[in-house]
Amino acid sequence: MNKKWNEQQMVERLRDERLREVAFTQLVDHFKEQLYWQIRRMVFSHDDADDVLQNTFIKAWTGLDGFRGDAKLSTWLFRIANNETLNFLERQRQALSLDDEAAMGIAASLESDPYFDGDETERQLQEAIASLPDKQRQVFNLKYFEEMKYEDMSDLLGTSVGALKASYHHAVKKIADYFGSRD
Amino acid sequence: MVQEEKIIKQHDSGRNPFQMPDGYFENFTDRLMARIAEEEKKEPERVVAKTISMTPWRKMMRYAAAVVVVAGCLGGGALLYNRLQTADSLLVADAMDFTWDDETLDDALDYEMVDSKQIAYYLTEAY
Repeated sequence: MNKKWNEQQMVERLRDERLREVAFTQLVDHFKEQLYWQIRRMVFSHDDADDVLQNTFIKAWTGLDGFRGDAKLSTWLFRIANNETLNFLERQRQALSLDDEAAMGIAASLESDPYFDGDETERQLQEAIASLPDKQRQVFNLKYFEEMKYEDMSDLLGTSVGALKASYHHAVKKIADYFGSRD
Repeated sequence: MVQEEKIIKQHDSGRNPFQMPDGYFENFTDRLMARIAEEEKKEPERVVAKTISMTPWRKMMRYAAAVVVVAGCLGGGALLYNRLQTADSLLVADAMDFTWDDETLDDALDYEMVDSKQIAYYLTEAY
């Protein structure tokens, strides 16, 4: 990430129609990797993550006039990405339920994914994570992989710290139970 | 909780197994901006309301035209009302000439689904 990031200056440039496109390009450059990983850990496949990430930034571009600056740009973008991801997963679930053959386990689909370089144990971990409900999985990913503080997560997801702690606790228990039933 | 996290750590190599195509992030912004430009071309042109400024003379002409239209509507309405009144009077006159024969009465009673007991009841003083 660019160390010279100046939030206030960026917001002003995004509001100025003459500077908007250049500023938006810088915004994309600044946040694309962070958002990509948040999305990728939820959708698993690179192609799907690429689609969702592009849609996230397109929504941000078309919604720039509605950005009032109440939240930080990072929070605003994260929320758009979050909505796009959850909508994508819902559409995917509906499509898969129509085609049972396509609804194979995530471990099997990762095995044939050219952009997944994990062994059997890592595939099983992803399978266990995939078995969590979407929102619980999101909390688990943010806490376990991103090591995000509950307070920051609460700001991003609009959920209380207590609810997030409970959600993470349930997620950890379910994943441990998943391995317990296999070992 | 600690025990359960330990179980997860045992199955986690600690490295990120997810990969992406070479140069993905380097090309991403250009691809995205090209797509945005493409999508903006597809968007239909916005319909903008046009405001026409009028000279006082034109304003007067338009007010006069509006008055003529309103007067026309009111005059037409009055004419239509008169015609309907005339039609109503003719219908009343027709009705006064009408006589009830047995066949017509039977048809009317069938239509109303009134049986002979009800007719007898209607003819009593109780009704």
